[in-house]
Amino acid sequence: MQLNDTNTKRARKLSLTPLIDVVFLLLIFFMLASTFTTFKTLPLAVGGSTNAAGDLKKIMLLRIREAEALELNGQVMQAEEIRAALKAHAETAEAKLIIRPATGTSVQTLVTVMDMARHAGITATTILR
Amino acid sequence: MRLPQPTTPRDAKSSASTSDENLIPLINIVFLILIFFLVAATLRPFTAREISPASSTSAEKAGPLTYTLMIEKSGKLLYANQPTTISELRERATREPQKPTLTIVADKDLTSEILLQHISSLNSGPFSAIHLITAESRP
Repeated sequence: MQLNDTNTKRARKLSLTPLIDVVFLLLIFFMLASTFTTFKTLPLAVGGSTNAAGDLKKIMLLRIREAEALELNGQVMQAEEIRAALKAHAETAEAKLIIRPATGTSVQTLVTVMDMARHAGITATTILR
Repeated sequence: MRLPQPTTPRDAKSSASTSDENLIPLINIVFLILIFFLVAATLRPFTAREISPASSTSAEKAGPLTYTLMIEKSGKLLYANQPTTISELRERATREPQKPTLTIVADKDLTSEILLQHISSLNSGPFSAIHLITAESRP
């Protein structure tokens, strides 16, 4: 009895077209859904009227004025001066910073100012509105 | 002088198999590009393509994003691609057994007043912490 007639039956070749279809679909999905940008997070704390208490000497007020001018404790300063002042302030124990953006300040400007404070070493930053 | 043998016309079956074989270099390249995207890129953590977050040099590594609130440049609020309101978001979060963390994806050109207004109304609410998504930029 002959079960398998391998000589008479020729092995059928698989078509590659469905494979290409699926691979192209996967490629398009990953091209659209993926990104090369690394996303990170910044913690946000927005002050109300309750958490403003504390030693005033430990608190600095940084205001973002119109046209991105910066004012630290009531004095208009350049970014470099503010960086130096914030670094000096960060050395005092429990140093706090309050950021108050003017109306119309963009989120990008606010984040840049928060970056300045974090680079200076001040972690307790509150944003006033 | 010897002339090359004239080529015989191929039958339909063999031409089909050769056209499939011609596709192999194409598949190789497409597979390579696919593997490149799989390895080098990451999936976007949020779906709204028109929102571009602010770039930051000091932000921390993002944790798992459970509650993601998207704020468009116009101030429109989106949760899971659907328009939402702050009170709706509050209600949804209060149903959670544990206080969740809120991650905000805000456009970099949005005015900070709108962002701060929303955050201050959520600050003492059902969320344990509020984070803002930023795109990493080298200092």
